[in-house]
Amino acid sequence: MSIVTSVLEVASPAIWAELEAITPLAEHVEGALSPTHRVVRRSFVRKALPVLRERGVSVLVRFATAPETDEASGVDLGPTLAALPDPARAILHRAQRRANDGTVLGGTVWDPVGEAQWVDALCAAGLLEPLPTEAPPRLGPYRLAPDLPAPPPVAYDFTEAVFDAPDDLEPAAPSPDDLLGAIAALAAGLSDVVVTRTLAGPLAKAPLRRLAKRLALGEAARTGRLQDAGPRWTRAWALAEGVGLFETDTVTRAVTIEPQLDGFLAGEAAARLDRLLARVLEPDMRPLLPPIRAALKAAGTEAIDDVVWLELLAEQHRDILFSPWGQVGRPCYPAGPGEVGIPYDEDRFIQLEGRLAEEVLGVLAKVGLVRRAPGVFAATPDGLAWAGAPPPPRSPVWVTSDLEVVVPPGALSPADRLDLERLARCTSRDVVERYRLDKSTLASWLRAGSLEGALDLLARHTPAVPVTVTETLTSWSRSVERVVLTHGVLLDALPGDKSPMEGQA
Amino acid sequence: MTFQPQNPLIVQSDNTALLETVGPHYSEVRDALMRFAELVKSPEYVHTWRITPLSLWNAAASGLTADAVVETLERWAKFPVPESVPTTIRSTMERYGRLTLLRDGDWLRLEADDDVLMLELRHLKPLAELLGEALGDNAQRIHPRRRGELKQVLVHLGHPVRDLAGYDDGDALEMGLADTLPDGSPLGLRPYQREAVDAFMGSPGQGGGCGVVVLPCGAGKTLVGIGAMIRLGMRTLILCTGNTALRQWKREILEKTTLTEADVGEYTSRVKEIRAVTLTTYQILTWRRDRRSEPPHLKVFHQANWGLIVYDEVHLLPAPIFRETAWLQARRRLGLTATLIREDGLETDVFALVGPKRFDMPWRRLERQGWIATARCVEVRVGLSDADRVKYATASDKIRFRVASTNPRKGPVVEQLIERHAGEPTLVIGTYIDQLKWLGQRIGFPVITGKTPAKTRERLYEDFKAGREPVLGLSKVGNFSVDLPDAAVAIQISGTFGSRQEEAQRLGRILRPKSGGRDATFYTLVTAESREQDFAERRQLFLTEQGYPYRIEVGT
Repeated sequence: MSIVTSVLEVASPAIWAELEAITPLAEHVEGALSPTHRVVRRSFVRKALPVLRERGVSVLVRFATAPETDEASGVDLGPTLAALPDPARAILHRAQRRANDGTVLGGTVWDPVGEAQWVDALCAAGLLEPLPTEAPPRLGPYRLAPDLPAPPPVAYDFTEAVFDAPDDLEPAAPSPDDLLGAIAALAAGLSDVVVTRTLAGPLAKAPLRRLAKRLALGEAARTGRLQDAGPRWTRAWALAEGVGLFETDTVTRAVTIEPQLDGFLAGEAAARLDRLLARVLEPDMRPLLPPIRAALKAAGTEAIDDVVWLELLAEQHRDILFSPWGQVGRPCYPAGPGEVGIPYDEDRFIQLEGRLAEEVLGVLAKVGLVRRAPGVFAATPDGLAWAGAPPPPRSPVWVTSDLEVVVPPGALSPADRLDLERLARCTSRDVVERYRLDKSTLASWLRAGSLEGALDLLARHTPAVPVTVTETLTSWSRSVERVVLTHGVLLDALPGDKSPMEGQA
Repeated sequence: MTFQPQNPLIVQSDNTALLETVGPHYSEVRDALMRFAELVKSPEYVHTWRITPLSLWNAAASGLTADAVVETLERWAKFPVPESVPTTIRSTMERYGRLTLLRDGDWLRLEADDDVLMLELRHLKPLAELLGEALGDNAQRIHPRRRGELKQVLVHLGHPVRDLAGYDDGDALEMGLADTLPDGSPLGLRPYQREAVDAFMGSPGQGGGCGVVVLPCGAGKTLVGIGAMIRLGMRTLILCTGNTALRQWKREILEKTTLTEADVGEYTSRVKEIRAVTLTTYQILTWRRDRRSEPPHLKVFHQANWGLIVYDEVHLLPAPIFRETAWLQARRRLGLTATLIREDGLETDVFALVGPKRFDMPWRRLERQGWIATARCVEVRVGLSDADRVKYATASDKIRFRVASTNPRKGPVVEQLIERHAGEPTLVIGTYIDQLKWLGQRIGFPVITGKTPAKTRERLYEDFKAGREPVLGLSKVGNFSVDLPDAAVAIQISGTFGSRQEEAQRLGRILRPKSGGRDATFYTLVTAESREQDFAERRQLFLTEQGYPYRIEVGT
């Protein structure tokens, strides 16, 4: 059986004497793993650690992380897919395009009667798995096999719907990607400062002042009111709470960050904006996003006539949200038992799915991806990025020898912003944001990150990282990692048993 | 206006401007900014400039309009200029010229361009004692002795005064630049020195005649002072940081001008000469018998009809001299310094009382032009012995800094560095005299401290210059105005906590151009993983901002 314990590590064995001179260690030590690693008891944290810190010895506290494993399952679905008849493969692709978190509602994806044999074939091949339900056969939820390759992209041609952008387009809502950047900054701050809500609901002022100070949010650092930092920050906070990235613990009233935030912010603009949309759009509406995206890409900086667009969509790919059922000898929309299905024709498409598309466009306008005028929609700059247009030219990030990082607008993705806000301290937010690299922020970074990660972050965005910066960060990391206490280290046995260390210290 | 990627300027709403140095327009934009903004720092890639009321008023005084300033910013901005910036620039520059100070017989006369403004000033408490009798609705009589204080208070209140009261001309002094140096080499002001003198003098009717010239050590600030003296041709009082600096000024004046010994006097603790050009020190001027008495030697300011007062190393100006300077606004004033950083934060008083910064030149630019030596800064990290590490760990904070600074393991590293630079004149600079003497004995070099008699100092300097002493130890006494033309290497073994100004001065010791175009090397020995390392980072900030990045080596 494994033992979870804490390990104290020093950069060189000579440091033990220095620590001993400040406070006796023997009573807190369980045993030695190596000349530089000792297993310590809980009493070390309670008694010795405060004394060492009081005497100016910096001790970096970390939590052990599980070694990364290769998560690829290795299941090769290639032969199974190759053996599928074409109609079954088409149904599978349709299902993949409509899937939410790997599940689909059968009745909306296929005709439960007319396409029954192909659905059954997919189930028999292990590519679909019916989930427990009381719904009639093939109407309920199904789970898709996890290792399926992505379906082929659907080709759209909306050039006929493109025309010059009119003057009466509504102003764009604030850039969602910029708001994600602000959420990243707030999240980095929240990992340093605990912010709570009062029982009445608003954010407590004192911790918010600390957060605002940490993030250089100007006036809010004085008043403790986020709105005094400007609308960008209140919008970002509201968005983060709205999509569940920030949550308030019902007992402690502390605002917590979603553990998967890094993953949510990662990737290219299109991917992270997709993730954002996945949280604000009804799951059933999401299949409308690819054709809207294709339209925006076709329009570029011009606009789309939405009537023409819907007609083109109906012509080119009729089964966006619903697939037709063959009832009473003609295609119709899915219908309940004993109901007569609504005819699956172009007029109904405009009436039913056109209205739903209108709703989706409304959401996209609110999110800041499109601008609208009656009968027209056009992409905002973020919308263009979401549609996959090539990114506009960006100013580089500058890192200077005096350990300052200058970040022009749009120079960092939200994920990199999150990392930079963790690595450096923002000193001013203006047209550009200015950050100062310092030892204390590097120490925070090293609790979960590495020096290489920090240097890589800087190097990725700047034409050249000055040697002084690299050397200073390296020397700081050496200094910070002179004495490291790692909690949660997994050992086969305590050192007295002479067993090798298994976990990562 | 949208994003203009080819433009190099980023204007911020806090009135700072960041200038990218890597693009093709850098020089053009820098020259444009110099007219209305102050260079704050100039590390590689991005230089920071600040547009301040003072810099805008200086620009207005030189004839630049608000529209021209705004147009420059908008022409070169990479991102849209924040709306508040043009508004601030216009409202600030409009204020210049609304108040004018004029001569009115034996008095001065403060005039406002409208009655309401004057009415407002009359109700401001800080001005109550400074304003004399009212002269109509828009003018006020001012006592000439309140001129400096009045301007200082008005500037702090946001009302700059166009001072057209002029200066009292001092007694005439005929002097010129020598044609050659004693060794026969030709003598002349370098282009940037001429620019500095021009900037100090100003254009007719547009001010000038007071202000600060910022140049790195080794760039010839003394010659700028001499240039100003020649241009004005008036009796001059020169305030130096100490006797060594005083004697160097004197030697340069005698070598580089047509003045003779009879024209140049010293006002020190030993000699009290008042001559056409008189040199004195901050120490003698601020000396007083006891805490309650006034410094008796401040009278030197009034003992002759000075036409120019030169403040050497103006960033070190002590408070009593500030006060006296407020009384001397009718005299032309020139401040010379390598850095306007004051550890006491009184930079603004230098601006208000001595005058605004008239000329500044990035160090690296002078280096590229070959006027100062190319310098390489290296921080050498030295570990403590195990025993000292324990001693350090158990010591108080104050003692820790000393334990780290005087780390004996620095000794062998100094030896290695001296050996690495054998044949190059080397200075070993430190704060702790015991440490310096210990190293001097161990390695065999003489050490100059504050207690070293002047004659011995002079002899050691001469021996060093002549190459008879290849290595010289210097305590804090060597921080300022020590003219050691051939020092090529400086090894800083300890410093005064986090003093950025000291770091800049010490680097300055080796920046004078070297024969054969040799580079200079500045080593700072720092005990690794100690308080000294933390302080060293702060000390180095000014130099990295000037574009002198530090390399880090590990001493063994």
